Amino acid sequence: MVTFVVNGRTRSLEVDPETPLLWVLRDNLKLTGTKYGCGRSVCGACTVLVDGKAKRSCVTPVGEVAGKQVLTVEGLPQNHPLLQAWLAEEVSQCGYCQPGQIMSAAALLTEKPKPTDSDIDEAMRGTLCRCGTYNRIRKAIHAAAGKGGTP
Amino acid sequence: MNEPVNLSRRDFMKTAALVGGGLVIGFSFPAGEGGAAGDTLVSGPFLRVGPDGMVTVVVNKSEMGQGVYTSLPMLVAEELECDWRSVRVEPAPVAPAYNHATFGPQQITGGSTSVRTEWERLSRAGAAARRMLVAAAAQAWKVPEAECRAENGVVLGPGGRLSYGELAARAAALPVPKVVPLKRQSEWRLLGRRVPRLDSADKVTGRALFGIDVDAPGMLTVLIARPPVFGAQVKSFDDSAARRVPGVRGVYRVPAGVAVAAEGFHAARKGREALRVEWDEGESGKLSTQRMRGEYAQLARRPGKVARREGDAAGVLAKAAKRIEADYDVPFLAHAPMEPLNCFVDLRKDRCIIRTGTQGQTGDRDAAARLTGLKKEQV
Repeated sequence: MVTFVVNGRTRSLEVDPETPLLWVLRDNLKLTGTKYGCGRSVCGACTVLVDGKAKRSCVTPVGEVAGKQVLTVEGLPQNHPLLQAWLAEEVSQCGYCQPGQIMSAAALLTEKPKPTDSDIDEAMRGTLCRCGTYNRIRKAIHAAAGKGGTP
Repeated sequence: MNEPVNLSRRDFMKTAALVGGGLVIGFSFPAGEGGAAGDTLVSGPFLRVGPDGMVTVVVNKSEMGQGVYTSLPMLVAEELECDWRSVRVEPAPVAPAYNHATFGPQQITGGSTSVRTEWERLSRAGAAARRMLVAAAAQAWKVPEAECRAENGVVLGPGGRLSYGELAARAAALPVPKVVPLKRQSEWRLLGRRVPRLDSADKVTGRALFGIDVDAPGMLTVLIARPPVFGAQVKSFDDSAARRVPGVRGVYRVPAGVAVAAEGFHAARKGREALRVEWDEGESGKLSTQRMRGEYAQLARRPGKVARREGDAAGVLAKAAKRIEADYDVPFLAHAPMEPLNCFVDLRKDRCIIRTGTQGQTGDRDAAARLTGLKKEQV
């Protein structure tokens, strides 16, 4: 039995503690906002926050988050500065990588409320976008930072 | 695009009839003289205006990020003169009415053709519906149509204002206009301007449903063990360990390799990892990046085909004081999006439901019919 908090709600699940958190979120909790892209932590699509820090959930065994706070894209309020900025800048194209991008950005803004371009490069480098929305992601992060974008 | 477009009733009804009844969930195609069933105004297979004022645009192209779920509704909304916020998208089912306008009898998205090839009929559908809504208001107020005008989801005229929702049922009963003028470019309110994408809100909140997100009670996850090189065949495999993995429900030899079906992704992957497969690699086994580079380098030394001749490059190069030579080498780039290819299949004795991200619905449907032995209409 693994117990942890997801988006503010305590969940206790009978799952193999080796199961990657990604698949507990998607298959057990039906929270499909967090995406599967590679299964080996090289694309960032699966990024969630665990106790405020960005984690690649595809390689994080769910046993490791026992007793911790997990935040997924579904846990962000609609008026969150990052979501507002993402819409204002029309960042998404196909949209598949965007939850991972947004959660990585949320982690960045927690550490660095006013990130520079290099801060953004460094923090966001592991989250890939095949549509090439990187320039707009950068603009959106700056815009959200202007409005105090911590989750 | 400002000549009137002739829209005969026969074209209208023919288009509507081609949308096979029963295949479209929630769609009621025209019956009788008008373009409607009940209180919903239906303008061909691509547009419905409901009594609640919601404008539903049926989009026959796949949204892959290129924006057709926004651009195609814009074509309709421009001519319909509706409020952009009342527009929603409904993906088209597989039916001939939704075939590509120029790529033959199939429903397919590609070649950067969607906006170009759908422009005419989507604009027409919107314009026809607008004319019918104006006619409905004129009828309600008992005034000439010329004294009424449509603007942003309402019709204004001597009787005041009536919303499209209020007019839908009455418009639905009217005959289809024969001549439907389209707007002049100078009259455009939406086209050529930045308009909020209809799919963005769902994409940033994680609500957007991708093929890989589809879920159903009792659904199994299947992963396929594929060969290390293209074209290799399974020589033999041992699934005894795979079958013992908790959650694994079956292991199958398939054309692509060996498939493991399990409850959830984690069990399927553990099952696949537990397989022992021996591959017959065939000719592809002898290929290597090094060997291919060598072959390309040799090919590059051959004279090329002349695509265009201007000036005297060879002569100038021969006389140049300084010549720079360089070899450029780019890696193989998979034409792959971030979402791994996937497909949901619910196969029963007499029907097959497939939910997948695809650019070619007709091809997929036909392939599934061939594989299952079902009729195309059952897929």
